Amino acid sequence: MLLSLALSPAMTPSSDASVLLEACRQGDSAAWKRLYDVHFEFAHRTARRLGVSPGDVEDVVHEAFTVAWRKLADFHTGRFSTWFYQIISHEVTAYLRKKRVRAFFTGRWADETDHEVSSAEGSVAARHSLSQVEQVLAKLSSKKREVFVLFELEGLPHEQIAEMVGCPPQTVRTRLHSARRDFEAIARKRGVWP
Amino acid sequence: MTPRDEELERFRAQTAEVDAGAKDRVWRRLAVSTAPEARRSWFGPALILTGCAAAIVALVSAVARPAAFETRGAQFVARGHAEVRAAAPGQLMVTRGTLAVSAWGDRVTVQAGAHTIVASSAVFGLKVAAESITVEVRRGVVLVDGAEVTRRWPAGARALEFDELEVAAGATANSGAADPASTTMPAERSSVGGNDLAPAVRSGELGAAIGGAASGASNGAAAAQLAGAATAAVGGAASRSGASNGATAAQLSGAANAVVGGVVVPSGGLNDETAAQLAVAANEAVGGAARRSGGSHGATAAQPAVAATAAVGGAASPSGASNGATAAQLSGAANAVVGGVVVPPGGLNDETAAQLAVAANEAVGGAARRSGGPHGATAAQPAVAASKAVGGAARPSGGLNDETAAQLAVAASKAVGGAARPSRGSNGSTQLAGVASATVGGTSGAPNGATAQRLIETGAAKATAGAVGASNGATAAQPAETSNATGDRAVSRAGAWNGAPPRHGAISKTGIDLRETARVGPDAASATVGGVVTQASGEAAPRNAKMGVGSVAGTRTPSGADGRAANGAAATETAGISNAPSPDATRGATQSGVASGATHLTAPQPAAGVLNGGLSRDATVTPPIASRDATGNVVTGSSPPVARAESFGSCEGGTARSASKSEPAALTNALREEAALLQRGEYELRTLRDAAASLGTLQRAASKFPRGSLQQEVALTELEALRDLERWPELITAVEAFARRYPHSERLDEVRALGAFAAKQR
Repeated sequence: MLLSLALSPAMTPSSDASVLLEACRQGDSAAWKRLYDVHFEFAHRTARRLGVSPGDVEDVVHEAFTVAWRKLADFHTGRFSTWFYQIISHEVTAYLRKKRVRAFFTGRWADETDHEVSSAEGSVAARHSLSQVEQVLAKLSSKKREVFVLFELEGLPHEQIAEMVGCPPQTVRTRLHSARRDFEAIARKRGVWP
Repeated sequence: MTPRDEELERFRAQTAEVDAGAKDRVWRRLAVSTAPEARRSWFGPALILTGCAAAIVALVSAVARPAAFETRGAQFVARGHAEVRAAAPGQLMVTRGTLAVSAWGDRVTVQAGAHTIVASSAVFGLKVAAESITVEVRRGVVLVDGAEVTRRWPAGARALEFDELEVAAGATANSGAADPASTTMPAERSSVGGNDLAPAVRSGELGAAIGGAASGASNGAAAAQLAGAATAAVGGAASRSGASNGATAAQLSGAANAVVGGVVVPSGGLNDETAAQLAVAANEAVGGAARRSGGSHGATAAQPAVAATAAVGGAASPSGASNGATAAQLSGAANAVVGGVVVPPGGLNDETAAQLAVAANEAVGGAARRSGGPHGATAAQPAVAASKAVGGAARPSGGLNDETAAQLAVAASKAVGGAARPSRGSNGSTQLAGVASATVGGTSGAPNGATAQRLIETGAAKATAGAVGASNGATAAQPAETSNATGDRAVSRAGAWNGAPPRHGAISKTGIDLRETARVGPDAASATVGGVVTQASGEAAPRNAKMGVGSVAGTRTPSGADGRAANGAAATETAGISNAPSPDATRGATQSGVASGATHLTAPQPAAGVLNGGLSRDATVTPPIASRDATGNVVTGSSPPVARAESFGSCEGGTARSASKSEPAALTNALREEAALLQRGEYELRTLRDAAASLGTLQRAASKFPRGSLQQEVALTELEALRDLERWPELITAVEAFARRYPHSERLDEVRALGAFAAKQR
């Protein structure tokens, strides 16, 4: 379907997001490609930081874009990035849930992350670093983790985070405070840093 | 920057890196997946629906599985999970389910859907589904819609598709054993199908077989004589629908030294010296199922296998109660195993079933199942002294009276391979084969009156020992004594004996005695009169029926100081043999019941030993010379006294006592205890339906008597308990253990089938 869409000559790189989205709704494949190019790295990065292993991140991103295209007609107001983040977050949550179930039955709960990281990363140092932070993040609750990631790693303001996660800014602050405290405690407990 | 910030910054930088080809790969996948929603739209729900449907089917099938059942008919036992109802006697209707049927009748009908299954002494599995049935024949003859099935019937096959099945040549839809004329017989054999004695007698010589089924009533010395001297087998099914009198079925294989390989199922009543005599003296085995539906009492079933060296391989199942020394005596002195299943549904009283295997040297391998309550010295005694097996199932359904079924296998050196099923009780004395040594070449069977004498006369020509069985009246003594005598004399003795005191009862307590007897007997020869001690009355019981070729079998010492029986009526079945019978001796025997030469039993030369109605058959009769000793008793002079009171034990007070008695006492106690545990286990399993308790009891029996005579039986019952408990893994292990321990068990095939079934269930 996507490949059959004709490239619209009206689409230009300077079109703003609303025009781009409207073109996508009209079935403009070039618009789809441009939208994809704009948001791919965000989706990839967010998925990784929310806990998706390097080996699975492409699958999660693919699923997120698929859902976005299918439901794009339902999106009318707000920022696309916020709406798309919610899709990514939902997909990441589903991925982590499957991973927990799988780990429960395979008995590899504790070590799976290490193995996956080691297979994806080349250097020992990088593997060590990724595993340390990822393991600590994995111990946070999902709500705290996303607030922590969006604030500490993505550098988004509280208001935007509140919009993305669907809660008041004060709640974001509260979660962020709690997430930092938990992050420190877990890191000390695991000896990540002194 | 704190270490925390450094780590986060490193993580931020690394997660910001995107693999160069990742973007293109994901885009290609997005482009290719043109309509993922369409695929999801039906695949997921379809998968869910499929799973739900499978779960529902499994649940419904589990819930709808027919309940386990076990039903018994007159001639069959069916067990399994099926919807079953009994339509008529001997007929079963199966709507659906799986069941195993063991049929010992000559024509048991199972209606399975639109198909009719007729079984003749067969064991087969049957699975009835909505549109098809599956029959797997384990043993015997099974006809499905008239065609014999010898292997698994393909599911869905109809009657007209039997081309692919093995159909026995000559088999017809309604053949079976009912009509001997339609029974296909091997060409090298001759069949005796009717009641006419003449052809039977003609074929009564060596090599003749009663291969077919005798469905008519046999009179007197009819069927018995048929196989009188046959050396082959009574291979077919002898089923008498009418009553047989006199020496009938018993005599069938009376002197046969082969196998009664078929099924002897007299549905009518058998009277004196009948069924019991069947296998007496048989040199081979009672391989089939001896089932007596009538009640037996006195020294009956127990005596059959006495002295048998082989096995009563079949199933002896008297449905009635046996009293006295009955079932026990079956294998009394047999050195075989009661390998089969002894299932008397009726009650057995003192010293009955127990005595079955008394003296067995090995085991009562089968399952002794008595639905009635045996008491006294019962099951324990069965296997004593038997060195091999009564391989089948002894199920006395009815009662047998005096010295009947018990005597079946007396002295049999091997097995009566078929199934002897006297449906009625027989009375009188049996002892057919009492003394058969190797070949019971002559007529066995307890002849009555003239029959016996005629037999003797006939046998004399062949140097046959004469009267084979202990006949009523003219007992064992007569044959030997009157080997040259006339029939009239024999008859007169018979009359004298009729007036003699009762001869039953002593045996009941003589499980051990039997064993002793059996043990002593073999000294003399290969042929042992297994000690059919049927006489009991306190007065005279001689019993030492042991003999061997060329030995004087019977030895009986009167208790009286003067060498005579204490009372005139004492039993004296001495084996006095005289070439020229003394009138005095004859008179003494006739009137007082004391045989001439009672004090010293001398055996004539090889063979011709007579004891207790037993006698050695194949006797090359060397006429002994009778003389009188100082006390006037007749002694045979030409041959040394082989059997003396010392050697066989004396009979004090009329009690048969032979040899030592101390060892058997301990043995019997252990055997009784073992048998009690076995019986309790069976009762818990079959009556109380408490398989778990039964298993515990049986395991206790196994651990307490690891080398007990009944261990094979215990093991088999354990398998049943495990099956009822549906403990399939343990059952498979137990089956393997059984196969290792009893590699030659006659039940091995069944056990293996059970193991296969368990494997499927697991």
